[in-house]
Amino acid sequence: MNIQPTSFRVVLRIAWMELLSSVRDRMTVLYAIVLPLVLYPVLLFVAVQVYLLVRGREQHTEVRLGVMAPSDQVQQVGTRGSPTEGILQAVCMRAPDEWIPDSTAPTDTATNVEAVRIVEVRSGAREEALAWLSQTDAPDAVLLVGTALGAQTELVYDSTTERGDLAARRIQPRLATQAENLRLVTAQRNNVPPARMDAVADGGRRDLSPNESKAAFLMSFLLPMLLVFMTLSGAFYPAIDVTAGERERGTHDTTLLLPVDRATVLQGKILAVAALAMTATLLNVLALGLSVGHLLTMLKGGGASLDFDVPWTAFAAITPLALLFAFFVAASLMVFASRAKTFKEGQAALGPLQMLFYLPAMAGAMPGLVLTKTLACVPVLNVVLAFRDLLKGRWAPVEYSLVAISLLVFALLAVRGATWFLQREQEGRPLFAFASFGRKSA
Amino acid sequence: MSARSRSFASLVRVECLSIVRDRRAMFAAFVLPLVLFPLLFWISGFLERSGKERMESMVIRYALDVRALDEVSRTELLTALREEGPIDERMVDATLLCGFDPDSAATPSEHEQATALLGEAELLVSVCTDPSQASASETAPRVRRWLRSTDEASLEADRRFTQALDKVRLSARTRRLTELFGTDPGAVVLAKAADQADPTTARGRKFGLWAPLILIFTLVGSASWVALAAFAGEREQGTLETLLVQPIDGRLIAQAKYVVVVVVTLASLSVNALGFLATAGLGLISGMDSAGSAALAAGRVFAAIGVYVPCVLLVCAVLCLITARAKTFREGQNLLLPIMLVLLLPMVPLPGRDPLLLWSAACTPLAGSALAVRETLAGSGLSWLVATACAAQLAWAWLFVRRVGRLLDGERALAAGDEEREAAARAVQSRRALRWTMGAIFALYVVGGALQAWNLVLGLALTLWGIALPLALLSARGTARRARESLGQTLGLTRVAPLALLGALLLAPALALGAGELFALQQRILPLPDGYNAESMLGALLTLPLWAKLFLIAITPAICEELLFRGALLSGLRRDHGWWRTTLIVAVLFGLVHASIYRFLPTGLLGAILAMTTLSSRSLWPAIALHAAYNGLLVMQGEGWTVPAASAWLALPGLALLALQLRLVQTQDQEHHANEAQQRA
Amino acid sequence: MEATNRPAIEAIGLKKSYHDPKRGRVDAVRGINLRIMPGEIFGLLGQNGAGKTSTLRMLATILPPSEGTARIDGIDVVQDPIEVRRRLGFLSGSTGLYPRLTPRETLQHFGVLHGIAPERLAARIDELLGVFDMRPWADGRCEALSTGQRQKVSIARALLHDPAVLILDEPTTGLDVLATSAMIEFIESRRAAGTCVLFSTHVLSEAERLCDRIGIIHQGQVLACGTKEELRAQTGATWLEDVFKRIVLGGATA
Repeated sequence: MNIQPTSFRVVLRIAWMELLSSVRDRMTVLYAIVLPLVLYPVLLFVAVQVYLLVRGREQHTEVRLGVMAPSDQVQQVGTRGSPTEGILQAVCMRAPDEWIPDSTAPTDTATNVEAVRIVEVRSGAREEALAWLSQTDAPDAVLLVGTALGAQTELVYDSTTERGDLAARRIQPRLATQAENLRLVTAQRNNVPPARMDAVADGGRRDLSPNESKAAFLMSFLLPMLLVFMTLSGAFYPAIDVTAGERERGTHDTTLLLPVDRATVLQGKILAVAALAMTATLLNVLALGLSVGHLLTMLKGGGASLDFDVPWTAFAAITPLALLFAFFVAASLMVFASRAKTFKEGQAALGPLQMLFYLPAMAGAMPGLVLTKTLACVPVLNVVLAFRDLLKGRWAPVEYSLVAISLLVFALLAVRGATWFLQREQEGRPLFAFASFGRKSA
Repeated sequence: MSARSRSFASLVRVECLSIVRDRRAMFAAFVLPLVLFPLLFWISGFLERSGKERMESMVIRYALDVRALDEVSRTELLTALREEGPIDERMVDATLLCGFDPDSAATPSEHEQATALLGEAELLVSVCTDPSQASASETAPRVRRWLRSTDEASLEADRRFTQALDKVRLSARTRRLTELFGTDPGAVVLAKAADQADPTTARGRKFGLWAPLILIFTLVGSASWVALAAFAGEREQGTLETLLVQPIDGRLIAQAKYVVVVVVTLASLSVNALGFLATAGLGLISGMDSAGSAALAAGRVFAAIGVYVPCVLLVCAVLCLITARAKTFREGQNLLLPIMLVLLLPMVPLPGRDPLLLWSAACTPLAGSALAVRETLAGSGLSWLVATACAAQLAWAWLFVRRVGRLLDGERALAAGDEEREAAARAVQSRRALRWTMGAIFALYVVGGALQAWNLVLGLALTLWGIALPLALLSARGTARRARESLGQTLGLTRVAPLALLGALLLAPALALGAGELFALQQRILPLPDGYNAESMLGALLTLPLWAKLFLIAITPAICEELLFRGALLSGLRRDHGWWRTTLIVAVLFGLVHASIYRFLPTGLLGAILAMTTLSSRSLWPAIALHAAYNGLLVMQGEGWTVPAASAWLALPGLALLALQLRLVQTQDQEHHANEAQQRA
Repeated sequence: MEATNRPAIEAIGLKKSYHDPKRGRVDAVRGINLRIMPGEIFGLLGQNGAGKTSTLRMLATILPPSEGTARIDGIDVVQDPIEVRRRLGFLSGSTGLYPRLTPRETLQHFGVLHGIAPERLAARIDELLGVFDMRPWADGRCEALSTGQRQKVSIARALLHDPAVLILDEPTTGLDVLATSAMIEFIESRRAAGTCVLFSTHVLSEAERLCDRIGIIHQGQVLACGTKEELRAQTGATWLEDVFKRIVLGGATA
């Protein structure tokens, strides 16, 4: 591969020309610049609003609970002093006389947050409870109580019904709290300090990683795959446009007529495509980072304590590899795109090719794979793993250099391949295939 | 067969032949899914399994100091740990660490010592007793751990340890309670939770979460290339003109193509479904193992596709409508990406099973189909909800299919007179104004949001004065230049309109009272989640002195927001649209900029009223006055003042004054036109 | 010329305007009057952008006229376009073929669209395949055909329903020598068949050779119309090229 100093300037010139014509295309501007910037904030905003909406409604939804007790104890359910009083009070979070409120009175939505209402008390055991659940006006869940000490309560529900899942999620923590309360009460009554009930206490845990690397670690799961995808989609259309698109427009011949080496022309185009891919990727990453950062600050303001700092050093470490990767992607896509005669053909050729990129990218996102020297030579996989390791702060200069070298080698091979295709084309295969009879009229 | 139906059949046949003979497309649409599905699932399953195995067989190194535990617990802990997986434990002396308080933030020296003790191990555990208590037997020993969250092995170590610890704690507590009281007093309450969910239904529901997303992807993927080939391809091939000269109705051609698009898409979807089922049958999908459940799944999957047909009809119609506008394949492709995103959004699953959301989703295009699919997969396909959803989707589809017939109108098809482009060319002013406003909204949301998160008071001031105001001026400047007016004229600042000013002010109390009612009403349907009420959002603002509050909350938005929305935006829109459309757009955008679904309706209505005020008086001052008064009244209400209910009646004279101002302006205009005509004559 | 009462193609005050987003209102055709008799070969001469294509498309019922009337074989193009199309054969430079269909299938398809009864259609296709020598390659895909072969298929398609009127929009543009020659021969053959042919071109030699009458169209109007002799007499020039230039640049009216 001979890249002379002077012809490199030509390469740059051609690249610049291609970039100019792409950037002046409204569609490219829209998709490569506006869309990435706008997409993530909008999506996040919508997600937050939907979350608030759903949570608000869920909190103000009343759960209807049915209570079932053995027939001889039904009358005493919930009466003052019975064991069930405490349980039901804990579940409904109301005073006893408000458990079965008057259904004609309007529900006060302001205080009615996370409410549980007892609709009916029946007698029976487990089978009757199951039957009750499948009736038409069934409660959302049924609580089986035994009023004698030692008998366990049972909460029966169906997680696939409209509110069964909600009922379980709301009631179970309250029952657990009630159990704890009972233990405390017993302890008090027997003059036992509450702390004694615990034989082994949980003292919590501490994280010894620095804050910066926490954020980086979180990102290391998704970001590598995301970067691969975005580089690919940023390069996809430009690659086709610059090869097949030119043929369609008829400017391909003109370019070939320049007193410039074919390989140089190709390199210029690849550079242009790589630059576009890089821009799209950077914008995507920027927008995503800002949106997520925005979301985190919003959550921080809401009282949640999240210690995250943006890992700028990690980003700086990724950049050179990302640039090489963009070059590699551009070169590989161009190899196949340069054989296409029309835009449609180019797309058909590149479409399945994308799979070859997606599969290793997804594989690299799976836990457990580590960047070894052998893996560092496998094209897309090595980049994903390298990104991950860099974000996690792993120091492995040998492997990273191997990744860089292998990317470069493959890219150059691709450029060579594309040049070879071009040479073949000149040697006699027709440049245009008539897609239609004649041409469009004036 | 009549000539017409024979023509239709021939059109369909020719279209199908063209598509079927495209070997590459056929391969991609029909053969690839059958191959890719099993392959993808197999690979991901394999990777997942090998990852899991690797995790479980990993030897975890623990640095333990468990001397403070009693004998029984210690042995239990180690046994439990060993049960979780291979471990390599190293006993250390972590007494120094017990001096640090676990409940307060970590100090650097604690970090240092813990890191030193942790060394090469994945997890450091130390058990300390609280030295401040009189007798060591009064308090329980506390188990503390230190880990590195950026190390996968460390996380795994913590996971295993937590599980072991939980077991030990539970048994230790039970022993202690029995020791103290003879029994566990809480046991009577400990409820078993018995989920009666049918496992197939549960699985179906889980699958249903992402099934509609996959369906829409596949649907758009297959339908788009067929639609492109059928419509844009016709133009590219140059065969469109020939078709149009045939003695058949243009509608017939469009309908034939539509039918082909639908049929091929359905076929492609079915093949994809088959691929998925084949994968399930091969046992490659976790959770769908037994043959019985696979058969059940097959029935449900095809029922789901059946229920999805209205959506297919709708999406195919939409895609045909879009691709027919494209002159080339490439243009068609460019139009498809935003469509894909728009179509994707309604498919997102809504958490919870709120009836209001469910039924409104059933009637929404696309979301209804997603709902129907989910219900069918979960086994409750035969319900009123699903039936309503299908019917609604069919109705929506019909609306679009009707328009397909007009697609191949000769004039439009040959782009000799593109009415859409023509209309767009005439609406340059309004589009410019819209673009500026959208940019402003985006900037206000992103930059303003960040500023306000940093400092609420300063951020709010900066957002309005520093972003909204300059953008409003810039946007209006372009409009002013094009209309050859001064900036003040465009913004509506030159005319004072005293009648309208007074009228607007009189409206303020009624609006303030109405806002309260509206909000209460909204709360019934769209309740705010706990902790998100006004107080928590406005935080720092509420502590300001009254004058500052009035300035920041009443005066500042009145000026800046009015200049942007009723000034720049409205004047741009006014050039090209009528009153109603202008008001609608201004109201919607005003509602959106407040970036909250709970404030959308109140602010939207306010925006509409302010827009009407501005339009009727051709001046911005009444709107500014009304906005300031309205916000001011709300601030005073927050201070404890109550607006007397009777003051709402002031709105009537207010409206009268506004109407009077409108008449005045119209009469002035008529006089102006008459003078001009006279001068010209 | 045989005098028949009814002209095959008639246009009275035909006008067409568009709205171009950049240029505003564009009057492509500004009032065209034509009377072409059956069996006549009429050539419409003009530069690019003179309004030839728009006129022909209006006559072929593809575009509706903004003003004026047109009649093919006595039938109004606006009121009964479908009947008009039954009597019309249309060929233009952009008339393509379905790449993945065979010529036979193409002819079959268009035959059905024209409402030709199945038995008659089979016979007719066979006849055309013989006339144009298409049988050896009638069952291969159109995308594999050479230019000349495609031309034949297009012509066969236009003649399938034996139209009384043929409208050709710049039929020789983009063709090589042999194909052009074949097209010219074909047009000449129509005279013997009694078909009225209206074609547009900007190649003067074709017009000279083929046309009974020539119409010179410039900026949406027919500036001159008549036989070659009449036009020569009118402008005093011999070569058609000079005739054209004098009429167009001189602005003389018909």
